[in-house]
Amino acid sequence: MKNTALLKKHLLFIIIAVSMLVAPLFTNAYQLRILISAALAMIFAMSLNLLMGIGGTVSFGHAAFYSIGAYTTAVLWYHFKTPYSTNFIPVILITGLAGLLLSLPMSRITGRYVTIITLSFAEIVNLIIKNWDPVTLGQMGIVGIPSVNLFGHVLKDKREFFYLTMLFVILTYIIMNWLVDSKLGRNLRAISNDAIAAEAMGIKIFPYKVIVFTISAIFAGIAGSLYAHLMSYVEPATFNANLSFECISMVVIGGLGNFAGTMVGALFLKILPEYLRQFEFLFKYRMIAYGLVLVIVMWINHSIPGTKLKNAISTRISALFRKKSAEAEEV
Amino acid sequence: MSLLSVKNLTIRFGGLVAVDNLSFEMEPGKITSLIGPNGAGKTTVINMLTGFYTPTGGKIILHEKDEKGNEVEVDITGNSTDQVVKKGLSRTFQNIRLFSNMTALDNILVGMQHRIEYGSFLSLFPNGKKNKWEKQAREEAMEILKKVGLEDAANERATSLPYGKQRKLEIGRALASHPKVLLLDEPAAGMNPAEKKELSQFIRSLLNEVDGILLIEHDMKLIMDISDKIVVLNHGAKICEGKPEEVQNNEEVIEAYLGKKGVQRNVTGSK
Repeated sequence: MKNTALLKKHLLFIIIAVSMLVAPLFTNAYQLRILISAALAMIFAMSLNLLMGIGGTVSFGHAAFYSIGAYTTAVLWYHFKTPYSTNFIPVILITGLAGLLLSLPMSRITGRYVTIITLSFAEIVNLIIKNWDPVTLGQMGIVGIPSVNLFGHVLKDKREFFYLTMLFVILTYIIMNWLVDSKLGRNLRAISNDAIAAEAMGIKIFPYKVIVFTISAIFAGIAGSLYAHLMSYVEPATFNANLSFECISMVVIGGLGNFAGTMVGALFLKILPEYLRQFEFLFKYRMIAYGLVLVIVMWINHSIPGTKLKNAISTRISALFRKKSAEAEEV
Repeated sequence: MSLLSVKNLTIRFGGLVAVDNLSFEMEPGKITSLIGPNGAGKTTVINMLTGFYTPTGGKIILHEKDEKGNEVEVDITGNSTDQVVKKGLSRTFQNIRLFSNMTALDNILVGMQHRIEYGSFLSLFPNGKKNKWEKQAREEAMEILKKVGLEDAANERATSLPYGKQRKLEIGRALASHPKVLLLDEPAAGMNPAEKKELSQFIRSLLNEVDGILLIEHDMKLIMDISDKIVVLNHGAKICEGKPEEVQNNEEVIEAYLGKKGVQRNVTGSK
């Protein structure tokens, strides 16, 4: 009974994970590369979903943590020739610290100001990377980063790299679910639902903001560090605002607070542009299409975890008429 | 011995004195009601008691017993909201403030959160301590839902519940923190007479769970039915205090509610 409920809850995740895991049997090198970038996007977008869907903070600068993760591992490799497995801990520490830093102003601001702060934070991080030449090599970027080296074993085959990434995807999903079903997750959801009521229940809001920013940043950093090893080079231009917006689109398409949905969103937004490449016009204006999709999805308000899309749409449509019926009831 | 003493409580917002030198006592096992015309400062008092506002002056004292049974005074003036909850005050809101996207059970669990003693780090992975607390908390939350008559709605979203049940869920959430003093801000607002009648019995029954209740309400019938003591505020100051029948016949109270003319007409009418 309990197991079937659990299976039902995670069915979408299991379907995606299993089909992703068997996919390399049928793909060519180019398609595998898309799958890897989709898997990375899944980790990245799930980390943002923790912040947005559970923590209730819309971050427009999540690319900052991704770039910090990527640059930490790249810079460490460049200056000290340390392998991925050695860089892993510094990546976690530095991105975690960056998340903590960004959470500090959150004790004083809410709403749209949070958006501005996160957006400017990403810009600041990008400017630092661009201009801190001795460390980050500035605009030139760092070239020639080797593939992931796990305790002496170099993942030369892209398939191996893909499975490592998928391991992180699965771990991220599981940890996010543990978190959501705990006191921490519950209190975070309570704060994002109604901060005043949460306070009245004795929840101190600020420490929770610090925690959720830190954890979210760490996962984004892990995705970023894998990205650096996948691409073998990093340059500041990659980590622009578009990366943050794309990530938000993935989260919103999948549904706020819905981690399996986020994976669908990531897969969709990574595969669609590749498909659209053959139609030059569509590919060129794909960001407009993203925007449209975002607006439609937000209108449907597919934001409650576990809500079926069909129900969400009908709720939304009935809401259009609700005002009238409420007036009628009063009479 | 009283349960909670409010002494000379004052708050100013700029030039406006919202609550002026208010003093009253809450007795254990009793329902104390705070009434007054709109804008009299009733909700402001609750906001000060629960740490949402810091009073400009005065004291809020909670009377407790230590291990030896001696009475100790705990000063909670200006404490933060989380400290106040830990010390045993819990509130509901005038306009229901449930966690709308969460289930009824989760709402209760959030109300219970300061008694669930595992930290954020242990939340990140399964472990004995977390499992033990979660299991225990869920069982207890179901009991609370049963008490407020919502055991069937445990897994329903809070806002999908009918209005009366939302009120009860909010009270249940406040009870979940095991308060000594329960502060209810207009629990009957928006209810029909039948619902109000049921609610007044329900509030009475809550005295089995908490040491005392502070009630703000506009419905005079409900207030007169269930209050043990009534404190009347007008323009932030106390104008009268006493048993329901004493307050009912107090001229100043009638004046505050109906205006001066009402008093005069009443006087001439009785002649």
